[in-house]
Amino acid sequence: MKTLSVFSFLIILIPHMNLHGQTSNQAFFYSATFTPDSTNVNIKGTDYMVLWTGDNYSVFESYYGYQLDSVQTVTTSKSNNPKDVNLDALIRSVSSMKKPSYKYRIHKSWKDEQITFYQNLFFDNYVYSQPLKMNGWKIENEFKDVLGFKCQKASIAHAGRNFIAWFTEDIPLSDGPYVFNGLPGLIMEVKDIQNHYSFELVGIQNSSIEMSKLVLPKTIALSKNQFFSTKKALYKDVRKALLGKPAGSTSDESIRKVQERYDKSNNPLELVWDK
Amino acid sequence: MKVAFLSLFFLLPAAFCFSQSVVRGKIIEDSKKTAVFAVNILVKSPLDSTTIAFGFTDESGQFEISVNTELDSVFLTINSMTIQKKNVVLSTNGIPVVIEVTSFSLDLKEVTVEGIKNPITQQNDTISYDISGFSTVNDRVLSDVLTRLPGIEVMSNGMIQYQGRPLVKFYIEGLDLLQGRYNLANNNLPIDAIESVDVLENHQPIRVLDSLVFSDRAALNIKLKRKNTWIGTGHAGVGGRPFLIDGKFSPMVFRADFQALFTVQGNNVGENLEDQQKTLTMDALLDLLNNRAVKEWFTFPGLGMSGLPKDRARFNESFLGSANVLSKNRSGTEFRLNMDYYQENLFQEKNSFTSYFLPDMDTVSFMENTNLENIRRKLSGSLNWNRNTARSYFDNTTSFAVVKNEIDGNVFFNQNPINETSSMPMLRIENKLKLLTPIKNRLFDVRSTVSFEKTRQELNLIPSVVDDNAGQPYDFLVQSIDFQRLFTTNSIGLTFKTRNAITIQSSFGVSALMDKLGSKLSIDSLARDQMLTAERNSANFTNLSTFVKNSVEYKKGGFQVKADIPFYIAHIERNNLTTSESSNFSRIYSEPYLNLRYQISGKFSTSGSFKKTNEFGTGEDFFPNRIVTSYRNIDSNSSRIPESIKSMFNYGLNYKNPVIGLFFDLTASYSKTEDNVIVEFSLANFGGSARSLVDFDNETIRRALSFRGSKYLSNLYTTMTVSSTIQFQGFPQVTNDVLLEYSNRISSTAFEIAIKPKAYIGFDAKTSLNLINSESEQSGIARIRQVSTTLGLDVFPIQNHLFRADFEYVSNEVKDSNSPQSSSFLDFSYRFTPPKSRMDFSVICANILDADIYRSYFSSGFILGVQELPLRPRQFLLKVNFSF
Repeated sequence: MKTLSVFSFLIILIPHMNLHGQTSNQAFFYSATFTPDSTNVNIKGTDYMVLWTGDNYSVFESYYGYQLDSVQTVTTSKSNNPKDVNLDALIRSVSSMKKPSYKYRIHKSWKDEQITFYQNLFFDNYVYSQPLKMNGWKIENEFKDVLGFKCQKASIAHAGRNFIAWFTEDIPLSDGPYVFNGLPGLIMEVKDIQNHYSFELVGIQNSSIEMSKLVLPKTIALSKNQFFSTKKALYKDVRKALLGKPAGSTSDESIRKVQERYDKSNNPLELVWDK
Repeated sequence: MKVAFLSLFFLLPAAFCFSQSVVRGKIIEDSKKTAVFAVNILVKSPLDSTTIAFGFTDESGQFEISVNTELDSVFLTINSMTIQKKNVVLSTNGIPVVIEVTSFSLDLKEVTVEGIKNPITQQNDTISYDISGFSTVNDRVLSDVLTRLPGIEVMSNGMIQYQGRPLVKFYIEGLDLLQGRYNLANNNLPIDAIESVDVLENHQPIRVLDSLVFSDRAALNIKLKRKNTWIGTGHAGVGGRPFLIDGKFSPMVFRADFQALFTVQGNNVGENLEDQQKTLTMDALLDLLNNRAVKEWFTFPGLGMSGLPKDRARFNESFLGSANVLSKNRSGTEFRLNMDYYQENLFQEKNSFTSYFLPDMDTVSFMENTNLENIRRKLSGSLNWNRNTARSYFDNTTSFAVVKNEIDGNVFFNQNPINETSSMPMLRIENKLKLLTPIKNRLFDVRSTVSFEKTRQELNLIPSVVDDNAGQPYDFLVQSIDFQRLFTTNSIGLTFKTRNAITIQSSFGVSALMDKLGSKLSIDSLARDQMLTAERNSANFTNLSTFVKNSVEYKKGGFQVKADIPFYIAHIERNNLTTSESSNFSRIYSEPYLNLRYQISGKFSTSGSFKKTNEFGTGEDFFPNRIVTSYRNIDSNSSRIPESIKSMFNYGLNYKNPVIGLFFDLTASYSKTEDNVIVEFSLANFGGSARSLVDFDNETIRRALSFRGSKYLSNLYTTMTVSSTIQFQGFPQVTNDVLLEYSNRISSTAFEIAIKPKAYIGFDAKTSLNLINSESEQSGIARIRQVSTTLGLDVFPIQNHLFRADFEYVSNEVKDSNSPQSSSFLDFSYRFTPPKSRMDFSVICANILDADIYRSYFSSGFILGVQELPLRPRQFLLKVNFSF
C-alpha cells in the first residue's frame, strides 16, 4: 500500500511549461566526448549533440537520437496502414545509422526560468526539473577563435567539477550545450578542467523544427535528488531495472555483461547533485 | 539639467569610494514601446572595451547589473537575437534609464558539418532525402542510392514504389521531362549532381484538382546541385570470347525553363536496352492498359524459360538512342519532345521436345530445333503540350511509333528442315487530349483519345508441313495479314465533393473500336503440280459503346470505401466481307467495383475487394478461313462474338510489429470467368495442330493463396523471409473432339536470408521450391519440381575496393523420370574507385563455370515438354565508368 501511494505520487504529469508552439530558429551542433570510466580515462565516448534554439526556449539532445526518431517517424507514422510501411527499408536504414550515446533531452525555458531534464534509464523515461540560472560565472580576459567567431573565456564550478567555457558575443544567446547557460553569448565550447567531459561547436544551421515534440513519452517525474539516487541504484544493480520484466527473458550471462559495463560507468558529469 | 549636473558632481567622489556600483534600466522596442525580454547586456570598460560585468533583462525589460568599477561611466552593449545590436554610454550612478532598441532578426551564417545533416526532413507533404546521407563511395547513378531510401523500393524492372505503390509522377527539378520513362534518368543521372530526392506525398499532378480531389499517391522530385550545366554519365567496356563491347554516353542539362536528356547506348554483352524505355509511372501504366495494341499474329520460340535470367541466354547486338527535350515558356506552358530509336539483333537458338497428351490416352510428341535471327527496329516519338495552372488544365500529346520486326531462320521439325521468314511491321499514331476547368466548385473535364494502328504481317515457310488432309508437305507457303484498328474514346465529366467527405466523379462518354482484317494464305506445291491455292479472310468489326460512369469514395477513421458503378450500352457488329454475312448484338452491362479497407489496430489491417468485368472479342477473333500462325499451327475462328464475364474477389490481412521486427501478409483471391466460346484443338500425329473457337458456354476457375512473413534479428543484422503461394486453375478444353476438364496447380515456397553487418562483408541467400502439377480429369500429366538457390557475397575489405561473387543453382525435374536437369552459375566482379575520382574501373567475369546449356521442363494443361537454350559462354569484361 505504501509502495502504491509512493508510485501514484511519483507518476504525475509533466511539469507545466511553455511547450506549445515552440519552434526553433537555429540548430547548433556540438561534438561531445565523455569519459565513462575514471579509472581508465583513455576510453572516450562520443556523440553528436544539437541545441535547437527558439525564442527564449531551447532543447539540447543527441543528434543521432533525433535522426533515429525522424526516420522512424517518416517510415511508420506517415500511414496507419501497416502495409504501407516498408519494414525492410526501415530496418535497413535504422541499423545503418549511428546510435546516440546520450539518451537525454534538456529543455530550457527562460520564461519559466527552469530546466526540464528528460532521460531514459533502461526501460523507463524519467523527468526532473532544476532552476535555469547558473550563478558564479567568472569572465576572464582571454580570447580565442571558434569556427570564425571571437570567443571569450569564462569559468564556473558546477556539479562538483570546474568548467572552462568559451562564449561569443556575436551570437547573443545566453545558452549553451547541456545545462550550461547564463553567459552574454552562446557557449561555443565547454570542458571540465580534467577534460572528462567536453562539448565543442562544430556546425550551425538555420532550421525550424517543432521543439515541443522533443520530449520522452510516459515519463516518471522525480525530483533531481530522487532521479540521481534512482540512477545510482539502477547502475549499481542492473537487475533492479529488469524487475517486472518477464522472467527468463534475460540470461544471467547477459545480465552479468551488462552489469560489467555499468560498473565501468562510474564517472558521471554530475559528481555532486544535491546542492 | 542643472540638478543633474550637480548630482553628478556630488556623486563623483562617492563612486571613487565605493567600487561596487550599479547600472539599471529598461529596454523597450522603439516602434511599439514594449519591453524586450532576455536581452544580453554587457558592461564594458570605456578604456579598453573589456567586459567587466553582464546581465539580462527580465520579462518587464528591466535590468540591474552590479559593476565592480571605480569608473563613473561605462559602455553598454545591448544585443539579442531579435534586436539590432546597440552601444550606449551609461553612468554607473544607478539611476534607471530607458533604452530604445530596434527589432531585427539576426541571420546566422550556416556552418555545415559533414555527416551531421539530417538525411531526412519533412515539411508538410514533402519528405526530402538528402542524398549525401545515404550514398556510399560505390554509388554512381541515382538508381544505386534509391533502393536505400527508407520507404522507397525499386522493383527489378526499375519501377519505383513508395510505400508499396507505384509513383504517380517522376519529376526532375519539378518538371516531368521523361513522362514515365524514368529509367532513363535513374540509370544515367550522376549521383554527385543530385542534392536530394523529394517524395511528394498526396500529390495531385493536376493543379485544378488540388483542393477538390484528394490524392493518396506519391510523386518523386529529384533536386539537383549541378544545374545549368552539362552533366552526365557513361561507360565503355571491352571483353572477350567472342569480342564484347559495351558503351554508353548520356549527357543532360537541367535549367529552370529548359531540360534535355540524351543517351546513346550499345552492347553485345546480353543487356536488354529496351527496359530503359519502359513506362513506369501509374498514370502511364493505366494508359498502356487502355491503348488497345494490336497483336503479333505469328509466334516463335522466345528466350523466356522459368528459372533462367534472360540475360544469360541473350545473344544480342543492341543499340538505343533517346532524345528528350522540354521547354517552358513564361506563361508556364510546357512543350515536350521525346524521340527514341531502338534496335536489336537477337540470335536465338532453342531446342525442345514436346508431348501432347490426348484424351484417348494417345500421345503426340515432336522435336523442334530452331535457329533464328530476330531484327527489331523501333522509332517512336511524342510531342506534348501542357498547361497546368490553378485555374485550368490542358494537356495534349501526339505520338507515333514505327516498328520493324523481322525474323529469319530455320527450324528442324522432327528432323525436317523448314525455312521461316517473317515480317511484322507496325505503325501507330495517337492523339490524347485532356482538359479540365472548374465551374462553381465543380470540376468539368473533357477527355479524348484517338488512335490508329496498322500492320501488314507476313510469314513465309519453305517447305511447310501444313497438313492438307493428305499429310504431304508443300513447297512453300505465304501467310499475309493486313490489320488496322481505329479506336476512340471521348467523355465529359464532373467531379465534386459533398460536405460529408464523399467524393463523387461522374462522366458520360462514347467510345468506338473499328477493326478491319484481311488475310491471305497461299500454298504452292510443285510436287503435286498444283496451282497456287489461296484462302482469304476479309472482315470488319465495330464495337460502339456509350457509357455513364459513377465513382464514390468515402473515408472515415480507419475505414475506407470506394465504389465504381459504370454502365455501358454496347452495340457490336461484324461483317464477313467475302460472304456478305453479318451478325450483331447489343448489350447493356455494368462493371461494378467495390473496395473496402479497415485498420483493425495499429498492427493489423484488412481489405477486401470485388470486381466484375465484361469483355468482348475484337476483329482479331473472327476469321472463318484458315490463318497459319506458325509452321505447325493453323487457326480459324468462326464462332459467335466472344464474350467473357469475369468476377474477382480478393482478401488481404496484414500484420506488422516494428518493435519485435516481425511482419506478415496473407492474401487470398478467387475468380470465375464465364466464356461463351471455347478453344478446340485438333492434333495431327506428326505434331501439327489446328485451333479454333467454337460456341460453348464454359467457365474457368482460379484460386490463389499467398503468405509472406519476415523477421529481423537486430543483433545479428539478419533479415529472414518466408513466402509461399499456392495457385490453382481449372478450365475445360476440347482436344480432338473430346471435352475434358484440365487443371494446373502451382505451389511455390521460398526462404530468404540476408546478413548485412556494417563493415567488410554482406551476404544474402535465397532458395525456392516450385511444384507444378498438371492433370486432366482422366489422368495426371506432369509433376515438375524446380529448386533454385542463389547466394551472393559482397566483400569490401579496403575502402574503394569492392568484390562481389554470385552463385546460382537451378534444378528441374519431372516426377517419375530419372533425368533431373540442373545448372550452376558463378559470376564474379571487382570494382576499384580511385579516391576523389569521377571514374571507376571494374572487371566482370560472368559464367565462370562455363555452363553451356540451360534445360528445363515446362507444362500446361495437356502439354509437357523439355526445352533447352544455349548460354553465353564464360566471358570477361573490362569496364570504365565515368561521370561528368
